[in-house]
Amino acid sequence: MRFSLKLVLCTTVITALLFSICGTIMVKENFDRSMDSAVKQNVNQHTLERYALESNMLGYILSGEEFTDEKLAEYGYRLSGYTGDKARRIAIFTGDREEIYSNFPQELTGEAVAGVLNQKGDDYQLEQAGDEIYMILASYLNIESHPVYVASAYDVSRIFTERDRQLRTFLLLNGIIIAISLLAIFLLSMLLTAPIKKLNAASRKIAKGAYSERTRIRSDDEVGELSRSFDQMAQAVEDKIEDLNAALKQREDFIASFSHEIKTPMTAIIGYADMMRLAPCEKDTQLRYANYIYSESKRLEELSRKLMDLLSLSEEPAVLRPVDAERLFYKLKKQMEPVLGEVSLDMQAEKGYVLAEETLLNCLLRNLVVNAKKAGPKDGQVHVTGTAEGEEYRIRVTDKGCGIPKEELSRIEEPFYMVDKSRSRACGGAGLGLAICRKIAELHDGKLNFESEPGVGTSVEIRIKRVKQEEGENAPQN
Amino acid sequence: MNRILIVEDEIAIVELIQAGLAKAGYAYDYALDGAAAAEKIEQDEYDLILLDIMLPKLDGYELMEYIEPHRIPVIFITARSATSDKVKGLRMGADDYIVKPFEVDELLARIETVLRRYNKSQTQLVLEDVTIDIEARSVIKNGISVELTPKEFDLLLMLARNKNTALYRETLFERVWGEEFMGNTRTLDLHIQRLRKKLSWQDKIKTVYRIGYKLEVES
Repeated sequence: MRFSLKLVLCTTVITALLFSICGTIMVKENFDRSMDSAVKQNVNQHTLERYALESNMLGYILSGEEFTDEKLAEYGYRLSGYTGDKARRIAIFTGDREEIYSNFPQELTGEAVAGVLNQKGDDYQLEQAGDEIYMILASYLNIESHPVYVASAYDVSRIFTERDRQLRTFLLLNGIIIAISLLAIFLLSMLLTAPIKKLNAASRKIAKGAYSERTRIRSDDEVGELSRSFDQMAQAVEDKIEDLNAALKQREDFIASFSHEIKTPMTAIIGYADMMRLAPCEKDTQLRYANYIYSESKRLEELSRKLMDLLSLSEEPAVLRPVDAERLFYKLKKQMEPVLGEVSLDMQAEKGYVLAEETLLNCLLRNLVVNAKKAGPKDGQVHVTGTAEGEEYRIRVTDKGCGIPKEELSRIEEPFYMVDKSRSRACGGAGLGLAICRKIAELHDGKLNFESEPGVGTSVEIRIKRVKQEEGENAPQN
Repeated sequence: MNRILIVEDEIAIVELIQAGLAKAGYAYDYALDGAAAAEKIEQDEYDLILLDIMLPKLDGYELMEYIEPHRIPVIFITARSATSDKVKGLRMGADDYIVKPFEVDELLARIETVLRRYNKSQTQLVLEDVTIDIEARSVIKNGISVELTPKEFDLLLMLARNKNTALYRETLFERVWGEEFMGNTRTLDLHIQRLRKKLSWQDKIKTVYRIGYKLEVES
């Protein structure tokens, strides 16, 4: 059942119930009070009638006449005639309860009345006669040893009709009240559930993909709070979707570049191999083709190796330990010197301990040094410096080589991105070196900073956390 | 003779294509980046351009806008095989689209188709007294039509296109029959014999010891 409907029904039912109860109580109260005062009045009246009868009979007796039932009947007739039949209903009985006179209405027969005669005191009996209701009071008189029963019937219909009238009025009012409250509550519930509907509509839109939809209900109540929370949630969802889309796009771009990098050497390898198996070639042509096959295959090998590195870096978080900077540089120098050929390594490192994963940091530095060499430094040197600066240790690799144009600087860390493709490929590069370096930098909680000017040179810098002297010295080095 | 411009930044691929083009009898030229290509197009006449999409300096799509006014047919070469890329390329006015890695033969076939569309292709191969109509797939010797089965025709075409070159038996079979060679020498040999008989070329279609066959004709 709908909430608004629930609201309307509950409120209306409660209102109706309460109103009914109140009404009923009030009508009953009125009726009881009317009845009570009627009883009092009738009792008084009956007493007076009794007195009148008794007086009358006593009069007869005192004047010496005989007390007979006829006299009683006569009294009855006279009384009726005097006051009119309807006004005074009286019934007189002998001591044996035989009727002497009665001007009770037809319906009030012997049995009904007989019951009354047994009552004591001010007890009364209500009897219905046609459309009227009578209150019957009876008394026992002992007039000079003559037992007489006298009963009076009073028309109390009015009390009942009044009660019924009040009941009817009340029901009508009740009906009106219910109708009005139904309407009022309905409108109210519409008003209150409007924000809920709004929230619902917004949810549906968002579910369909309109992630920037918001509810913006700013009332100062629980609904307003709900709306605010909802909007916050929607924002979070929108942000997340954007992130996911960006990540997806990145992945798609990666795959596109990757497949391009693979397909091109494959084309060459397949092409040359195919030519060689179609027809015998001259020895030098054969050698040339074989060389191409070889170099393109090596390119694929380099690519796959670098890719493995890149992928494995994403897998495990690095375990950082204190590493002696001097040792790091010394190792680097030893590794790189034979590889650099004519280019020499100019290394200056301050003492210090860094928080690093030695192998990975070494890999990063090697990549940077190789890049510097490939840039073709004019002074034939690659400069590597390490400086301790407060909490950090700064490592810089600088060269006076061909430099990188400013527009490309933001993209060089992208996988497979190469500024000068032909040169990179000629050196066996795959465009993955800096992507790997970036990953390694991230694992060390840092990033690479590039500064470069075409024709002048390039400088790459990374800052790593330092470790206190004592801590470093106590750490095991392998 | 048709002149083809190769626009591709990988020198290995350039040489590969050149070898193929030379064999097929085309003249060729190349450019290693978009800017050089634009210059060459300005300076010389070309009958067809082979264009790699991923080029330094000016990418393939941008170069297309430059080529348009010259109305030279273009075949895109690229590693991007997504349908959207193909559609983009074709919409931009390319006449065909070939995806890496490709076999040179496939490239040559596509070049031929595109040139034919522009009425620039050689529809006929003339070898001494035999004329082969590539489009009609018919052979005429000394004015008389020669009936060849489809496979015989393909085999002849293969030999003709690689005239005066010894061809390995296995690869020859693979090219013509499209199946892997698993010692089905009989099929190939029989077809060669029939060709020799029908064209009376017993002395021209030569068996090359340990290698395969070769069509020897005067150029």
